This record gives sequence, structure tokens and C-alpha cells, in this order.
Amino acid sequence: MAGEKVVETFGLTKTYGRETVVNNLSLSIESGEIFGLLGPNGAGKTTTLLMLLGLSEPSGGHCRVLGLDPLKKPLEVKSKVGYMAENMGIFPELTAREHLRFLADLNGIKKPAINDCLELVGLLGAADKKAGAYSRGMRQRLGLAETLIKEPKLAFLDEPTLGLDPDGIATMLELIVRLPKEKGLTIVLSSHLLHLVERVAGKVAILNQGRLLALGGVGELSEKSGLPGDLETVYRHYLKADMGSEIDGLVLGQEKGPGPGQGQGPSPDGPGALT
Amino acid sequence: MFKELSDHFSSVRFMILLAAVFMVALLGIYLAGQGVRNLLSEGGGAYLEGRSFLALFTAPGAFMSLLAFMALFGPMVGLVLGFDAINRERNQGTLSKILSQPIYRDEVILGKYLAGLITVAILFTALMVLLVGLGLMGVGLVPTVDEVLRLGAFLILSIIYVGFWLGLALLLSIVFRSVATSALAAAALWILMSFFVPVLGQAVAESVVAVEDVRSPRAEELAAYDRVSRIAALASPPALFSEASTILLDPTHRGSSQALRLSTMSRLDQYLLNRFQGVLSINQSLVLVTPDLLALLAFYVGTFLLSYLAFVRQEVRSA
Repeated sequence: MAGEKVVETFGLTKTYGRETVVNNLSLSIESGEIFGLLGPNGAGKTTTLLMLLGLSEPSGGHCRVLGLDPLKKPLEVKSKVGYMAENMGIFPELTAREHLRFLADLNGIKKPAINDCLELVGLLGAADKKAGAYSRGMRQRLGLAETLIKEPKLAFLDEPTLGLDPDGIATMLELIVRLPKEKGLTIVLSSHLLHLVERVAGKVAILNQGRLLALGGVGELSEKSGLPGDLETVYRHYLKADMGSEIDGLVLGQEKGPGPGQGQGPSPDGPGALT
Repeated sequence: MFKELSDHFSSVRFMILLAAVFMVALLGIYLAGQGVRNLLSEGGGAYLEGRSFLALFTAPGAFMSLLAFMALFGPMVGLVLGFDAINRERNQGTLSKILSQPIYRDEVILGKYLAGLITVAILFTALMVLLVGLGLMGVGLVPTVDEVLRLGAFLILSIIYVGFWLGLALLLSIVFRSVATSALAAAALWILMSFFVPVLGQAVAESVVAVEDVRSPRAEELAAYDRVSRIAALASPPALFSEASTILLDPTHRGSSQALRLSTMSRLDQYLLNRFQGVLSINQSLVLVTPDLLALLAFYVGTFLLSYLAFVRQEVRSA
């Protein structure tokens, strides 16, 4: 139902040793929308998604996903939420069809709509080809099909356009835009590629070093900041207010090597791992 | 778990391992068979009475017995099947894919472990059946019921032993993010436990037990030395396996303490003891093997529990 809160976080916090990677995050996401989770690498986007899935235990606060507590009901949450990880792995020896069959089995789905999912992402023609031979774009689309095979109500897409060429990005974004309309899906899109998020997201949250800097529609945030313009201008404004002069070295919307705030964030097992 | 099993059996790594294990085992049984045949033709049948068939597994042949081969290279099977079970999936990004499905983490680690263990069980059972068949055909010996039972017990012992190494390899694949590091750590632990711990046990015994005259030690001193060595050997799964498997496959063997008893006896006493002790029944051997088996089981369960705890407590994120 549109307007229903599908994700709610209340002071959600995650620390690894002395490092706080998600700091007192409170936000809500309504059903049917495409929600952009923005921030430089190390902002806490992936960690937030993992906590929402019940794959990482919060150090403080709590959250509800589709009305469920992921810590208490992890299987229910995972059966209703699709997740496309940033580093989307494949089993090279399996075909796309076998991938979907395997994941459907794990979800206990007896008659999965494998062909429908593959057709939606444009992989039906390559369904019986081993995924090891797929291009990066095809792998990402397979990842999206895997997310959809369980017919989720909510999907977390973590950097779904990472490493894609312009055509691949356009195809992926087109698919993402279609999903809420055709499948009634709510999408949480984590990315640091602002110009792409701007094209699809209705509402965004800007994170930096685990803290929520801003939350709202792009127009709304632009109005609040008193800056007419695009998401990148707004984003820079909030990040500059948070980081001061450090923002000057930060390259946004492109992958140009680590600058301050773009380098290595804290690792799940200690400092060092990339988001 | 079925996907894991299928992955094991269809992997190139498994095929290479299978070929290597079968090749060495076949060579070993051939050489041991030759030795046993020669001994029988020279009238040594009485010496091997009740254990002729088992001699195929314990006779050293030209280089080492099958038993020694299993003690030394059995761990390789467990290590090869498990050293990259978790970190490879983590690095490939397939671990987060699986864990984001509605399954418990326990199922993932149990699936990995059981698939590895079933693979080992199938491999060793097939190997054992093949070797028994070759023994029947090549040497013309028919195993007695006691020998079949002993071989069955040895098979179970071998699976437990390799299961320990599999659990250890799994633990390393959880602890280390890099596959190369976990492989190196596995090799280092294998060398340490196979070669250094037994020597260390003797060194500990030498430093703990004060022997007044090394050239003619007293019986109490030797007994104390033996006790400390045995306690130290409990820290070495290969030593435990060697001891237990020798007791199982050689009905005249009564454990390492037998050597001590013999060394403190006169030659006449030794002769009389060997002459009248006879062979042990399978039940007696099983009783003798119990402490080693329990220690090995403790290692087996311990490494798996550590792997389990490390995995369920570890964060999911890919590299």
C-alpha cells in the first residue's frame, strides 16, 4: 500500500571497535518509492543495508523492515526482501537459469517465475549460457533477476551500476524505474553516483561517516539548502557543511581514486576494508 | 549441501586429488602385496597368522606402508577440500548472496562441512573397497571376519581423522580473508603437527623426566618418560591416528607402552611374552584404542565448533 512505511530505523548505530560506521541513524522509507542512499565510500550505506537485512547486528538502536524486526525475524525479512550486493558474485559454472533455480530452492519457491525474471532483465536469450562467460553488465542484470526471483516487496540495490559502461548503466536504470510500476516494488538504491540516483530516486538520504546529513526529496533539499540546482550541488553543500574544507578534495559522481572521505572506511573485522 | 557436494565432485581439484590418492594407494598395495607374498612363500605364514590380509596395509613395502601413507597424506585431503571453503565465496561475493536468502548461517557452515565429510567418506570407502579387492585378487588372501571388522574400524577412524583436518581447514578459511594465506597456514599446521609436535613431545619428556644415568635408565624413569611422551602425543592428531590405526590393523600391537615393557625385559622374557600373548581380539584392540580415539574426537569436535562459532559471529561483508 502506497505511503506505508516499509523501512524504519530508530537511532540505528554500528560500531567496530572504536570506529562508528553508522551513527544514530533515524529515517523511514515509504512503499512504492525509489529511495536513494547517498554518501561517499565509508559513509555507512552498505552497513545500514546489512543491518536492515539482519545480516549485521546493530550496536545500538533498532529498525523495522516491512513491520518486522530483522534481528528477531531474520528469515521472514530475508524472504520478503531482495538484496543485490555491491560485489555481486556469480557461480561461474552455473547458467543464469540454474542460478535462479538455486536461489528459488533456498527460498522454498516450488514454481519460480524464472523465465519472467530473465525476460524482464533481458537475459532470456542467454539463460542457458554459463554465467562465467557473462559480461559485467549481464552479471549485474543476473543479480537483479536473482533479487526478483523471490518476488520481494522491497529490494536493496547496493551500487547496482558499479563498473558498467554507459549503455549498461542506462539499461540498469531503466529496469530500476520499471520495477516499482510493474512489480509494486519499493527500492532502496545505495550509490555514490549522484547524477544516476537523481534520475530515478524520489527521495534521498545523504550520509557521511555514518551520520545522516539530510533526508528528503531532491527539490525539497535544494529548497532547504537555498541552492537552486541538481543533486550534486545539494550533496556538496551538505557534505561541505559536515566536512569543511575536506570536501574540496572529494571527487563526486566519478571514480577517481580515494580522497578524504572516499578512502577506506572501517572494516567489519577491524579498520581497513572498503565499503 | 547438495550443491557443495556436486561442486566437490565436479571440481578439477577433486579429480587431481582422487588421481593422486589412488595412484599412491595402488602402488602401496602392490609393493606391500609383493612383500606379503614373498613372506608367505618363505614360510612366514605362521608369523602372519590371523593378520595376513591386514599386513597388506601395515607392511612397509618399498617405501612406506599404506597406514603410514594415510597418516601423512590423509590430512592433505581434508585441507584441500576445506582451505578456501568460506574465504573464496566471500571474495567472489557469493557468500553475501547466499546469506541474504532465508536460511540460517548454521546451514551454510554445516552444509560446507558435511559435504566435505561425505566426499571424504565416499573417497575413502571407494579406496578401501578397491584395495581389498586388489588384495583378494593380487595376493589371493581372503580376509577373516576379524580383519574385515578391523578394516571397517580403521575406515571410520580415518574419516574422523581427516574430518579433523577438514574442520581445521574450514576454520582457517573463515579466519583468513586471503585464500593464499589460509592455504599457507594449513600447510604450516600440517608440518607442525606431523613433524614438530611428536619431536616436541620427546623433548618435553626429556626435560621433565630426570634420568640419572642415560646409559642404563631405571624402569621407573622409563615409565615416567613414556607417560610424559604419551601425554605430549595427545596434542598431535597425527600421532594419535598413527597409534590408534596401528593398534587396529596390527592385532599384536598393544600401543607404544609395549615398546617400553619390552625394553625393560630380558630377552627371554620378551620372547615368552611375544610367544604367549598371541593376537588381540577386535574388542581388546578397541579398548586399547579408546583413549586415542577420544582425544582425536575431541580435536575433531573442537575444530568444528571453533569454525562454527567463528563463522556465525563474523560479519558478512565481502572484501
